[in-house]
Amino acid sequence: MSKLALPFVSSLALVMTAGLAAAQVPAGYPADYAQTIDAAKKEGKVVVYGTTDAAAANFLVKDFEALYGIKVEYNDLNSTELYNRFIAEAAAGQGTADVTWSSAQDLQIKLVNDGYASAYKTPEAAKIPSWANYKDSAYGVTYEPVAIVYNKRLVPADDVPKTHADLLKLLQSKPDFYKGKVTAYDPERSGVGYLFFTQDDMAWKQAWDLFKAFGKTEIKLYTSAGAMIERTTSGEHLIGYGVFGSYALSRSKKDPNIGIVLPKDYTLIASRVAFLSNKAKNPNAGKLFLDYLLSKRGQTIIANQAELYSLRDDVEGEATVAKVKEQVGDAIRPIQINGDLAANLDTVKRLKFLKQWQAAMKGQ
Amino acid sequence: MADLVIDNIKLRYGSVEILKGVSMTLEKGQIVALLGPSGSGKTTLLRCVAGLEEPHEGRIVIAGKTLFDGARGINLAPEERGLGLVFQSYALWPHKTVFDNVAYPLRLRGVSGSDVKTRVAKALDSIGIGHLAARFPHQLSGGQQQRVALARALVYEPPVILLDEPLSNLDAKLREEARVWLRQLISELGLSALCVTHDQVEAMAMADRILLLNGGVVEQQGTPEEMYGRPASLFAAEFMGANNRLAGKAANVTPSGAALLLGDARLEGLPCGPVRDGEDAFGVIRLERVRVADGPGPNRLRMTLTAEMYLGERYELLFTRGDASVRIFSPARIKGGDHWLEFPQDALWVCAAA
Amino acid sequence: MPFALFRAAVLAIMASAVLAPIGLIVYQSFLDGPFFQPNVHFSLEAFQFVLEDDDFWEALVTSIIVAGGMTAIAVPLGVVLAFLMARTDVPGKSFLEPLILVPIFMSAVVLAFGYVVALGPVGIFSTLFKDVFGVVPWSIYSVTAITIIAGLTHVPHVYLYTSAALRNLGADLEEAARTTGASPWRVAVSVSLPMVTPAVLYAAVLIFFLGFELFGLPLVLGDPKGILVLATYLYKLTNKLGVPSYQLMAVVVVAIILIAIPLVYLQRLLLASSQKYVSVRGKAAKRSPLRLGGLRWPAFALIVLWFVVSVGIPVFGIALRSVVVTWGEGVKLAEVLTLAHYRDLVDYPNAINAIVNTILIGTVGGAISVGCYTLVALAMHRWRSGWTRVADYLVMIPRSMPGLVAGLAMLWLFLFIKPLTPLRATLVSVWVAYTVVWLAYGVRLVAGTMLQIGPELEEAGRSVGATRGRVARDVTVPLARTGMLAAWLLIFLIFVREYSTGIYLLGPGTEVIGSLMVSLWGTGAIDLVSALAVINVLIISVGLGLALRLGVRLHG
Repeated sequence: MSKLALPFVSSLALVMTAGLAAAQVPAGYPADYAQTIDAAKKEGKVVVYGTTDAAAANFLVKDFEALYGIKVEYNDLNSTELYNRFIAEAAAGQGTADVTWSSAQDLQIKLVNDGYASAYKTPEAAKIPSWANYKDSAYGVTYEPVAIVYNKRLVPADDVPKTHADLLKLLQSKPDFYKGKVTAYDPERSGVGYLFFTQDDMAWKQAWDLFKAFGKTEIKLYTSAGAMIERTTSGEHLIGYGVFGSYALSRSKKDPNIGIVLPKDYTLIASRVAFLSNKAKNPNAGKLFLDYLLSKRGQTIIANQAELYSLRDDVEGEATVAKVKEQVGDAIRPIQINGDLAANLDTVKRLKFLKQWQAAMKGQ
Repeated sequence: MADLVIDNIKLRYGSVEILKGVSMTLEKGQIVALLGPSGSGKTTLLRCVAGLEEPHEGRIVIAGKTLFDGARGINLAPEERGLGLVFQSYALWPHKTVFDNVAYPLRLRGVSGSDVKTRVAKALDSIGIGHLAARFPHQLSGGQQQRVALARALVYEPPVILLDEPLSNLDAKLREEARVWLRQLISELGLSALCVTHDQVEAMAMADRILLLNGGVVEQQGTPEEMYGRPASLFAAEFMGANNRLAGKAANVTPSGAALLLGDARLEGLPCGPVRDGEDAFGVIRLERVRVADGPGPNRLRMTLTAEMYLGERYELLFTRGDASVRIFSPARIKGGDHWLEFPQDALWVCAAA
Repeated sequence: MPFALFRAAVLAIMASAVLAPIGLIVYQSFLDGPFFQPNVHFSLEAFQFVLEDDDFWEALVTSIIVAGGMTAIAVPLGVVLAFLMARTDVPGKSFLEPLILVPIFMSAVVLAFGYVVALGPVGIFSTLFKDVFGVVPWSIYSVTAITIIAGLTHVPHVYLYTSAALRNLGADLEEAARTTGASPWRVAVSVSLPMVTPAVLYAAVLIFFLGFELFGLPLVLGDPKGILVLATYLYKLTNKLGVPSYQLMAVVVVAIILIAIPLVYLQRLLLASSQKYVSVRGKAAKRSPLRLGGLRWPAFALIVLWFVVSVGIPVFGIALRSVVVTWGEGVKLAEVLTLAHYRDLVDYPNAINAIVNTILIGTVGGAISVGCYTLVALAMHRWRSGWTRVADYLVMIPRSMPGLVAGLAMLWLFLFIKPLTPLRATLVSVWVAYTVVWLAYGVRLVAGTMLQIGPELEEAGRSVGATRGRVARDVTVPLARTGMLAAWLLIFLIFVREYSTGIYLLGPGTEVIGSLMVSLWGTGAIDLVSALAVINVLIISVGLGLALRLGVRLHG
């Protein structure tokens, strides 16, 4: 089909559905939202760059398309790729993502601070916890506990740590058994790893004792969750520290060998951050998609199909705030989506932390 | 008018000079042979004419059209020269049939389809391989391949045809037949041809004129008779024909005569190239010019028969005298022992040894 | 069109295709921020930072060790393999021949992960070994292991160059040595091998260079211990500073280019000296192979052993992983078998699309690429000019960019060069990126075939009145056809496993298997990764088998 024909066909589709638009304004949204919907339908599509894998995202994409009849072009990228691609495209003015949605929270905040975002107060704002709203521009979308995974076959039941302190004690009491058997993200090579470990540092005064214990047991550090989980279930490693609960959850459904612990002393909550690009070609469709991600409908899919953990307390299902609280009570510690995250990227601070980390890895 | 003029061509590869200023002419209807040992530059000269090598100096003109002129910076591409070239390996395109090989030059010239058919058929018929048109080169014998290569070079009627060792890939028997056939064909078609060969017999049999090259320069040129009968240097004398060589000293050198002193014996001959009295010299004489005499006399040496070889139509006999040895042809076997051999004065060339 | 014009045009297009990304990278290395942002300045800070970074030097040293080590392993083994295959009566040649080339076409990440499943600390073979002997004496997470595996998997490159040289060697040269009283083995060592030395050295330089761009193997096998090579150092660099800093990556690429240039120079020297040998080569007549006698089967076993270790084991590992739920210590494989991963794959969004795109870019894209390489090869063919030297360097330079950076540079080009922007979201952009990065390989393949055509066949065309262009069309290309088909096959196989160059150009609808694998790897969906890898291997095998069945010969 020629390029000319495409807009024609899609606008034809718009004409046919236009009459329904007014009726679609979700409950509780301002009446003028209908105009946004109409404009979005004229745009016809929304381009999303996300780090969520396509399989999980696909549930949201399909439902959104069904809801509005607006096509979603979902690009599945890793967080560095997403950042590289987004800033280059924005600079070239060739059109880029309308919505970016990334697990690299710090990079997302940096992009907002660097002026790549379009401020937009979502009608869902009231339902979103304040830690997940950055200047009415960027929003946390998920509520993913950072978990400890372990191999159910090979870790003795008594050894399974319930808290960070348990893990520290375990490593101190059975250093030989766990030598080379613990794994985590490498903060030197992985942005997520760096983020989690600095959050540990802030959340728990014994964090560095744990890191030193890691060093003494010759922890194996990886750059991807895949490598960590795979090697934990195979028994090459026994305990995986600081893994996205969402990945662990979906793996554990297929593989009975993987056990998940949400530490009871404190559980970090990571959240994939989304914002609207100010270079968007489809700004209205972008708004619709962002609002949808945060809406009860979208969050229900996040909780029950995408298994990414829903952020809203009014959503029911397996991967929800309620379920996390059921396990760890009030010991939840969401990573605050605020300006401090951008400071995380400060080179001097980073190099200082990493130097300390290297010492800890030598057990010092 | 000369069909082809080559004027002072020089060519080098890197620092090695291959041609050091070669000049020659080819008259219309003539065959000129470029003769010389390997490394003499004869093939390089041919390739210069074809445009496959680029000299750095000199001029090449065909029928008034300048193909190459070092001074004026003219160097026509091979395809612009319109010459016919037959390669030593024949260079038939293995992916084309005989017909397509021969038709290709015509197609390049925009000849219409039906004309191509008739002209190719005519060319193939004229050299007796009309029945092979549909075959591929690898299905042909060496002799047949050679004819196809020739047909390909002739089909577009080039003014001059260049032949690079055209017979060297044929076996001995076939080569003699092909020689005659080729000579006949060229004169029948009234072609002008430049033919590279290292075989002096082939050169003499085929060519109207011979250009003898040695180390990148022309050693001598002339008709086969001149080249054979009146060599201008030791190299020319020895390159042509089968020769005897006698080492001695030159004496009594004049423009029309020279003597060769062999110890106490003395032979009268003709000077060949620059030679001075008292200088070390070689006497060179063709095998067929030495004959057995009935007794002593001028220009005769007494020598001992030491070996004889039967060659079929004649005998070759080897005589020795001290270090010197002489071979002769004889129609019949002769008795062993000493004989007097005569070296006719007009057949013995006295050349400086250096 | 006059040939000189064609030549100039081809050279100009090639130069811009190569120099645009490289130039961009070099330019970027002298800035203090992304080149496309306002307020960037000329700066040498990036060089200073990298040169003062201990990790850079560690990575450089490791790269040199790995490159040197793999060369030391691949070259002798490749020569032995080539000699056995080209010169002896080792059994099963026709069946071994295509197998030997397989490692070239295996994605390194796939191979590496296969080794983890098979020979890792709790790998299938490791646990078997441990059950019997009590310990696992090897570790695949070490520089040594990376070097050995890289060496084994690069054997085919040496094999290709050496066997071609051996086949071109005149039988009469060897026969002459035999008649003077040398035994077959003596001939091999004292005549044949010295004659192919330039080809072997040429391959050695190539392998050494390939050692510097090694990425997949160290990424997977170096991960647990944090072993860094230059290409993986780029990753660490990004994270160290929090945000990707292109100027630092660019500096690393400049460093690799600086390593590459003398290597290309060395290759040119070696090529020149190998031509010295060509001029004395004898007739390439049919010869009878050397009789190995009692060594026939041990030689066969050696080849098979090499193949099993470098391809069989990892492919077995990955194939096994694709049909089990879990694996490792204490798992009874019979209880965890499943085909669910393949079913999941079919349901995975765009997976089928990716498979189709991969095949498309391999077949159609590969064919067009070979067409482009042919134009370049024709332009350079039998050209006595200093420009060929320029072209040699141009062709080689794209290989200096690790895929990660090449991909980024390609994105920039398609973003910031206006005429290219409409192509960005199409498979064409991916194809362009692949074609440029594999230029060196492709042009060498095609040019090599063309050089085997007797020059007089082309001269004959000129002398009967065909222009250079006509000769190229009517003589050179038709005669190089089988070689070009082989080139197509090789390029197909390479494009099927390639992805990193296109990573930033891929989008919805244009994904390929390789990119899908990487994004799945990141989220831990190893189930799907291994299923995809198996499909990738199948595509490669089918492509190879089909081509060989159709009579494509891998060398003439």
